[in-house]
Amino acid sequence: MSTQVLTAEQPRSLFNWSKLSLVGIAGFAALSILVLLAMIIWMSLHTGVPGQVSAYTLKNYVALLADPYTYRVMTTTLIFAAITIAVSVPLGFIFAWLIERTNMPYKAVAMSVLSIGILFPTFLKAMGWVFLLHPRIGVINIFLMQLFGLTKAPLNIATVPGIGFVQGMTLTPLAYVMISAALRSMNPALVEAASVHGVSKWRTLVRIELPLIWPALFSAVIWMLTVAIAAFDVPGVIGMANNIFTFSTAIYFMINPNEGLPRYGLSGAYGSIMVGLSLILMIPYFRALKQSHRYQIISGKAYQSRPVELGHWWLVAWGLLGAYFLLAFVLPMIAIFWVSLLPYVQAPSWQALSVISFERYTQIAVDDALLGAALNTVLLMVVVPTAIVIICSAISWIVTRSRMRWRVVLDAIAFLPHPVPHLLFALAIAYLALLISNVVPLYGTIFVLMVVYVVCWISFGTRVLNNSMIQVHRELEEAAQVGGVSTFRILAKVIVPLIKPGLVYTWIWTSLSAYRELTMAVFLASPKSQVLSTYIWGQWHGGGLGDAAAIAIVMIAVMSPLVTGFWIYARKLQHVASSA
Amino acid sequence: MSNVILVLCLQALLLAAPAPLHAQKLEQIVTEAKKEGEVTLVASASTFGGKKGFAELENLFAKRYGFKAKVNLTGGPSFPQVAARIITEQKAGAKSSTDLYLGSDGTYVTMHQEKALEKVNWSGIFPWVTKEMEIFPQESLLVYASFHGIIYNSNSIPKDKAPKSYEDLIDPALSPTWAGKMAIPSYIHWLVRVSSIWGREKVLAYARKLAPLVGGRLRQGEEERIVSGEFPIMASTGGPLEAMWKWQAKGAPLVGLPGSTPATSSYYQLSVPRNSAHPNMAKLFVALMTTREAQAVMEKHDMRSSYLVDGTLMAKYVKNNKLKLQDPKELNEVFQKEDTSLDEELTKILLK
Repeated sequence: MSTQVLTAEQPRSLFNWSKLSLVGIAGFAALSILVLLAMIIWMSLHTGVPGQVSAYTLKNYVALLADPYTYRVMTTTLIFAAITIAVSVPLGFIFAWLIERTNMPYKAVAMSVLSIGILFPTFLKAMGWVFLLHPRIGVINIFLMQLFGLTKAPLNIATVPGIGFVQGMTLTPLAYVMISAALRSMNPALVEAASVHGVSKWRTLVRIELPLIWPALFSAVIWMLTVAIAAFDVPGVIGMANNIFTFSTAIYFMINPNEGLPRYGLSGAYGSIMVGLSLILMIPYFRALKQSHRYQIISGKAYQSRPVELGHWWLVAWGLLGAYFLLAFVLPMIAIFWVSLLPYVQAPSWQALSVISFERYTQIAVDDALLGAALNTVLLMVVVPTAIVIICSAISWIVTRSRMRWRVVLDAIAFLPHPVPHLLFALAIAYLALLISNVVPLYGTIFVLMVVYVVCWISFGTRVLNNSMIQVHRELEEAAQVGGVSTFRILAKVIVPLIKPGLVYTWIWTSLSAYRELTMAVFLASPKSQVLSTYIWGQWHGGGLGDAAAIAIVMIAVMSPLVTGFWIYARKLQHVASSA
Repeated sequence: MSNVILVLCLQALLLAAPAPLHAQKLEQIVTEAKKEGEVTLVASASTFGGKKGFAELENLFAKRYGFKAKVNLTGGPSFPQVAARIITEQKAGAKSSTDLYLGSDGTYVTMHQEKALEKVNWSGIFPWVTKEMEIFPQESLLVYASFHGIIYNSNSIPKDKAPKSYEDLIDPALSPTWAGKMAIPSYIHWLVRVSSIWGREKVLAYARKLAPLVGGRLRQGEEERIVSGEFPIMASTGGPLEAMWKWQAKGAPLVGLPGSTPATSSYYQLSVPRNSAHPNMAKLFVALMTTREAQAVMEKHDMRSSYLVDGTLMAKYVKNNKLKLQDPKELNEVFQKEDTSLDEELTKILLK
């Protein structure tokens, strides 16, 4: 085992520069969050576009609340979110229970199948679903109609329940990750006791396991709700053309209107109301988290329960997982690939087969703009997670290791981007960048995307790193402090090596998020700051369905090995951390 | 003596002031454009033949002006959405996200009223540009013109049930075929145009009958969604005939026809936003698009062209059919005097 000696820096200056730097980084990040949130409210109190002089007014709120369209959009959004939750949370729970609590075979494969789901951008899956379940061009519908001699398509993806279903399917892996963590950490003593007393598996599940993990389930529900409210991907790809408008797509049209100028004030008012509602939602979320401790039972670390015997039911379990994988990934990807080969969208037939070609792929190979978008995406995948790791380390250090009085406030501010729909931050930074474009020419640059991604994912980074840092015993740090070692060196030489799995996990997760992100990018991207997701969106929205499909396939083919490698590494690190 | 000093001072001031834009010479523009090196148009991804068309236009640009430069197309929002973005950026004092603006008459009126476009003496600088091409004098040039009309999928709508005009779309005998499945444009300019023929009340009554039949909204350039059968019909688009020619050549079941008699038309124009980041490159590109060679590229990929450029498909079509087109400048006046309450009412009925 290698040993390292930490030496004190000589001589010590009057100020603790390293501590000041950490405070500076954390303070700047917190200030950025607050400025952007304040910008949303400020926008809501003004009319006109950035740069136009206008007095403070409540006109936007009056206009918004007097417009029946607002209530229609809100109702649609709530129904959409409810269906998203109704699909993702039960499926996530079932998969988590099967993997964590039963003796289902090939669990590692099942876990990989679900993890891969997180890697594929949602909007690509939504594109695939259009070709599968649209009432007129959906291959599954056509097949069912031919099979049963139906005159009308039995399924319709171009409805509010339809887009809710697709969003729910795409969020299932996330629900699985959240719930499986709770099931894994759940103490099985009560389950064992029930088993010893001959209680049936079903009763054990309903009466013991579900109540034990309900705080985690509830947290997952709230999380899914906030994600669904802000989601642009599925409502944008499927909903917009079919006259279905949710909160995100309605805001998109306020900022990109087909008549008149962008209505920043109105969208600000919309956003402010959503911020308020989101913050209210956080009250039950925190209560649930707080209550989760009540359900923990102290026991020995080595305590392990017997997994539930599935018997022949493992075939049903795998059937369910297989069906999910097929519906959520394999079929949408095949549908996209099929469309990419055709001169125009057609259902599979011998006639269509005779015209397939790889022409679109040869065009992609010489597309400079696509290459630029790919480079921008890679840049974001490197810079954003690196910045997040640095900023979140500073914040988490202050929150968990320092004795500063305002650390609780800092933690609360760092958490704020979680409940607030991310597109509002995008809106705020777009407004701010326009407002200051004369002084600081940031508008339309990739830097704006970097900033907003970092701001929005600070909440995720600090949650992971807070948990990691809290586990590092203070003794090590205190010993170094006594020896006169600077805060920076303690952080670099003591804390960072100990929380490395958390840091790498944060880096990888945010890097993958930067790769997938469309909601914020679609509001901010300009010709100079196109990323892969906005490039494909531009093709899709501009009528180039085949081109969008071909680029999507190339994007998946090129990026999948990279992101899968990332993911495997992250899981390994997690495993190492949990065994430690 | 004091008068002499005043005159001298004025002369000095005039000499020191930058030359007005209309005095710019083609050579000066080329010299400046070389420094800029690139130009970007934000429009539908299929504009001027998309990536393929732009590659050909880039070569034409080099041939015409004697230097190589990048000519980019970025897939972006619709014409009115891009116009709104340019005006917003100008008001904020930012550079425009697009170096060029492509749009039709309806949105050009807004751009003109907002003074969002750079003044260029097009016909004075570029020998092949005529005064007639300057739809908004010294602001925009006509790049193609199209009729407005219906497009539908002939596999989804049989010939005997197909519409022959906008009125047929709400005919109870025909409309059950597309009820709840019909796409409309995501803007209401097409009905504002018809209002000059039908009158305000008829247009509003029509919109009210149309609204329950609508299943979705598409923008111009999204014809593939009709070709695929996702929507069997689109109530109106700019260039239904060109769309039909383009897609039928690929074997697709798309039919297009003018929606009204007389047919309403759109005049698609290119111009340079006042806050363009590459204004000289943009000027050269705008003028290039009015050359016969560039028009041939558009025809090849989009079947679109300008009737004001000799030898184009559209020029031949207008000549052979002895068509009297609505004067684009008159149409501009219609839009300038536009009844905003009609716009609002139509938006409420169809788009909210």
